[in-house]
Amino acid sequence: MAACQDPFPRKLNEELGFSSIVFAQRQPATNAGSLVAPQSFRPGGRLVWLDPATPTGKIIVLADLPAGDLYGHDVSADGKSVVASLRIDAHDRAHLYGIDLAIIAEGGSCFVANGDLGAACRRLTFGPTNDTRPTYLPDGRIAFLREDPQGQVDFQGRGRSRVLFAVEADGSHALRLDIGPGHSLGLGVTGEGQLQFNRWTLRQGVAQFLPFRSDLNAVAGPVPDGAALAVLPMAPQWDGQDELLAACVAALGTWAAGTVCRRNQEGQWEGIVPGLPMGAGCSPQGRVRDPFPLRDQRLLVSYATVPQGCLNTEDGDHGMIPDFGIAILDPQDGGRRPVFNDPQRADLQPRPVMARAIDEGQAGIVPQLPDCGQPGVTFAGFIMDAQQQVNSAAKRLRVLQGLSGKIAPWQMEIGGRTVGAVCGNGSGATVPIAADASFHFRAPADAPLRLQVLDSYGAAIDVDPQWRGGPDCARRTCSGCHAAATEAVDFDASLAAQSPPVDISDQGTQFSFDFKRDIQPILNASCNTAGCHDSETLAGNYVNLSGNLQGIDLTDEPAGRTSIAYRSLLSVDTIRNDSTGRILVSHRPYVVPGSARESRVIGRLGVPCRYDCDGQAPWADWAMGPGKTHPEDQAAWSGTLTDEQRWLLVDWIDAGAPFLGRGASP
Amino acid sequence: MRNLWLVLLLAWPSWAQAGDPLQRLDPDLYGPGTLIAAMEELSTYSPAQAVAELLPLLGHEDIEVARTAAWLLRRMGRGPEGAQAAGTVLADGEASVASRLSAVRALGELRDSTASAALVTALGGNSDEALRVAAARALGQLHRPGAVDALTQALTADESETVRASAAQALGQVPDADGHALLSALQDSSASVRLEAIWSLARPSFAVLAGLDERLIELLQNDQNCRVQAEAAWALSGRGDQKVQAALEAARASNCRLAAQAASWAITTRK
Repeated sequence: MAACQDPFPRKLNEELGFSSIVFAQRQPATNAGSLVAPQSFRPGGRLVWLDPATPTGKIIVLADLPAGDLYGHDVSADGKSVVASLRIDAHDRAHLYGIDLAIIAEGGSCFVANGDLGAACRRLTFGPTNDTRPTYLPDGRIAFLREDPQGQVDFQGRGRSRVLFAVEADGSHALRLDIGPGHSLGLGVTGEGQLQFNRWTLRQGVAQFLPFRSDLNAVAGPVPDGAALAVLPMAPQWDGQDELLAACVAALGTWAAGTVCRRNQEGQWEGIVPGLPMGAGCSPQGRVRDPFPLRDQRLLVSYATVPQGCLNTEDGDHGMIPDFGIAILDPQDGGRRPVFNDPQRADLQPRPVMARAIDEGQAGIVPQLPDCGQPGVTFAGFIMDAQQQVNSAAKRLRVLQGLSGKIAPWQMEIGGRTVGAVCGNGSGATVPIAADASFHFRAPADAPLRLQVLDSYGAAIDVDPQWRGGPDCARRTCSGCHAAATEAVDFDASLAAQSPPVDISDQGTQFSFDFKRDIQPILNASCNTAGCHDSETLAGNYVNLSGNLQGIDLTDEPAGRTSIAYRSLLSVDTIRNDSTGRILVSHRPYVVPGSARESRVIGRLGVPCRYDCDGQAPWADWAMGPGKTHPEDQAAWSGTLTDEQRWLLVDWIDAGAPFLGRGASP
Repeated sequence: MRNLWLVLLLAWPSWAQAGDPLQRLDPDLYGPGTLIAAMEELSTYSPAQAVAELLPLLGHEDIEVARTAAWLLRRMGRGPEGAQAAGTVLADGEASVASRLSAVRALGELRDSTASAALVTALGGNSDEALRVAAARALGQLHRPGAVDALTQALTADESETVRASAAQALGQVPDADGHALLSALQDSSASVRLEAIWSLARPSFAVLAGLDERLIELLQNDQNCRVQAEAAWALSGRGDQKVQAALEAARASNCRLAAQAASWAITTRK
């Protein structure tokens, strides 16, 4: 490392184009990671303006929060305003505030008596939502992350999803930019004027950080932007050299560690500071947060060291508290010049106060949504197979809407499978796929939606891997999962385009499954009967959560948050080695949430043809037909299922096999 | 140098997962960061053997450790066992306040029906304010019926404004609250309680509560605290008729800058 103690030159404006900085001061944490954990509340924070940005510069307090905390800020492109996420006390929520630096410089304040604001401040968001990590967009709006107490639960069931929003500079016209459940993180603006953000979510049962890009209004919707990430880039910054920079923190375990990363041509993030590791491993030379690129390729950063330290998740084990200060870092040799350090506080997220030129790419025209005069987001496109050929097995689309916290506080996905309400009037509501594989429908706006492709028997044969959606009047097009996602090729000439979109946008007509209301009566009539799957006979068996063999009991008795029947059907039929977790024996459960075709219960019951049955086998060949071995289909059996009951079971399973009942838990 | 970092990046997962996470659940040997990291690693395969190690962590004095242990037990389908263990810590008069606070937080995170009784007892019969606050919040987190009476009692009679505010928040989350206690709480002496009551009453389940518009307008016009006035304007943005519109228009000239800003915001939103 280069010498670290050179005093910072006073005439910063000549050297780097600014003379003062704004940064956050938070109460110190016992490990480096918890300072970036979104739920961390450390009373006693403040937002300050250091002018000039030297160790002896004057500290001007923009917002003092003796009982509160702060969650991100940004300086406007003209250098005259600051937007900050402030939480005044433990009973407040994190709201966005705009702060006028000129009024502050004249002695104005942000907070005054009786909970009112001073002349320097304007509040931009209201209500019980937590609005954090604000970032000015090139068009003057402010993007931020919103956690709504009534929003979708996150994929781990630990809280609410944090999703990307944008508002005008006065707080009006809130627009949701991101749709998926999980957490949107690492928001930044690229040189082409696009949003770059990462979403922490579940994909095929594994928690991953996935990178996305979007235009500033999400007119085309967020699109995947590279492979899943092993590290989490926080608040990417465009460095002016066609590359993105970010602070990278470890993705596994706590939000520990941190260094400066650059995204390379392959879309991977690589550490660029000698001596600072990217992962959660020991770093005797300290850790970096919040890099902001300066005009001479150096970085304004928050930098932490400990006297004999090893900054990582184990800081707290050794009673060490990292001391974050502000420094200018040279990524070439790792040398840093201290700018300011308050040893009693963590000094974080420095931002220079200066007018910033908007890159040519960023100044481009921001796509705008048309005013269509109708609610809902329109989907149009084609269902193709991997070879871009018409998939003749695809007959219908089922549109699932992710459940909001109002309906199912804890359920969004079970075992990596989507759980949702069926859009449209009734459980069997579907959208037709025309003979040329085209489809056209309008679905609810501002809701996470997932498309399932159905066969003639109404069972899902393919599921869109992405959550999709958009605001009113948005149009989402695609020509197959493996084609460009932005525009449907020749859609106007398609069969589906010749008719208005099928309207399934009415939230009031959506069908949310309830196991006790919809499924248990079928079980009671045909399965939970004497000599079969009642509590005495327990025909068949499965391995329960404790790893013990257990008979199949389909009685309607409560068991924890669900019921005995539900547990019997959904228990993962797996035996693991207790000490290693290694799978020893594994069978599919009787019900595989999200996949009727993989569910053993459907395989044993059979499914009759449901859509476009000309030329189709009367019963699905992937399940048993009538007259086979299972008792319910024997001719003398009084409890034989109707076609509608079989289709309802298929719909329920494909929709994620939710139990529901308020408070149900995976 | 860049290649070196690429090598380090590729090697990263093996560092992070080095060693058996089950062996890193010992609170006598490891601090909160290590314990939490080990639990998150275990969540990927949830071995039954971890249960015995996780149950004592529900009373760990670091609340994040307890919360993470509860979350993992819930994912493993071990909510009842966790609720019993956390309830034992909570009932232990010799346990530290920090441990009992963690146990309360864990009971909320476990979301098991058997947790309600212990939390109701903690809310109504405990001298420690922080425990009562945590109990009220945990009851809200359970999202279960049966806690309305205890929460209403706390909202109307507890001497601590923090407890009352937490009860107001929880009453917005339990499914069987009728809103009348929250309506009364709009006259609480504490601004924090009034704020939480406004936010709870703005939930769709109380959309048709009689008299709510009038009470919100009253707060918008007369409350002594500008934050309360502002949040009343926010709540009114999604409601009402010409009377609401007129009240918001008038509030744009409020002496409270915050309320005036909120009223302008609400009018824009209504449009």
